[in-house]
Amino acid sequence: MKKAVKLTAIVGVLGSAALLISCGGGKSVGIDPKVHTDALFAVMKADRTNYTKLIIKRLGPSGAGVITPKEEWKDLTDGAPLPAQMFRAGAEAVRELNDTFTYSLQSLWPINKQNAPKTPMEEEGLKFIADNPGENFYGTEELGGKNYYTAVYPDVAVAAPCVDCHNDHKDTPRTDFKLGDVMGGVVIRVPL
Amino acid sequence: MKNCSVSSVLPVIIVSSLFVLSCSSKDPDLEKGEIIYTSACKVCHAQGINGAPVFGNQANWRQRKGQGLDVLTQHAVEGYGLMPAKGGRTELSEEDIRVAVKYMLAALEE
Repeated sequence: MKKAVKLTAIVGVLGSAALLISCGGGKSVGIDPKVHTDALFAVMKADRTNYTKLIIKRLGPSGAGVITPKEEWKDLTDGAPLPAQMFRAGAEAVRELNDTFTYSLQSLWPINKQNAPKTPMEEEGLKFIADNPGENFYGTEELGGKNYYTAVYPDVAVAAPCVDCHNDHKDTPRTDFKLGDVMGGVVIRVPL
Repeated sequence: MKNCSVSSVLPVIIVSSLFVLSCSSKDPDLEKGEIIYTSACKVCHAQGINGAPVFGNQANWRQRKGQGLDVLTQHAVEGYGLMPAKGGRTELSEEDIRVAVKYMLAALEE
């Protein structure tokens, strides 16, 4: 009888241990936040590139000439939003659809002041990507008692119209952008 | 262990040093190419911004690699697809662009 109790106890302990291991030993499981934000950025980047290539370049002034990409696109019957505006429209639509993550296009030199960094981490990230072209920034921050993983990816001046518009705009705080400069960043924030 | 004198390990040290030196001496084109890549190309090619093929990404470069250094240099110099001529860095010479492309192609062989 004693032997049977001992054996049952051993089996019980081993079973519990196996269960704990299979559950990750109490550690949180799930996708690495960096992998998550990198994947989100890959989709955003691909969509933006495709909009630029397949719509703006193909149908705009350098292609068929049947649409007019312009900041004030709503005022024109053939107006089309600029790639950056299309990107912002996507961010707004996502904000309405879910609250599991947010993304925004921000800059240290925003034409619209609403697009300036709002948290110290956003500002640190935007400075980092401007000082280190081609690099991303990753960090964690606490906002309203919750922890977030914040990633900042570079937004680069890739076409002359981007540079001209930002340099010549009446509200721009910076007028010396060149092609290839980091003009701002895409800030993606996911809860931890 | 006592028999392991300096004179006995010296040849090993010399041979090892020569091996390390021979491995670290890079093609000067690639050294210059890395500098140009870092200062002018990395901003887009590290991330794949605007469809730029990502540095070291075999899948991205598979089709392009076969076109060869001359054609890829010409594309980069004149602009191709959404890429502006010389990536917008008009101060760069054709030779600068060539070594930067060469550096990016060499990264695919590593």
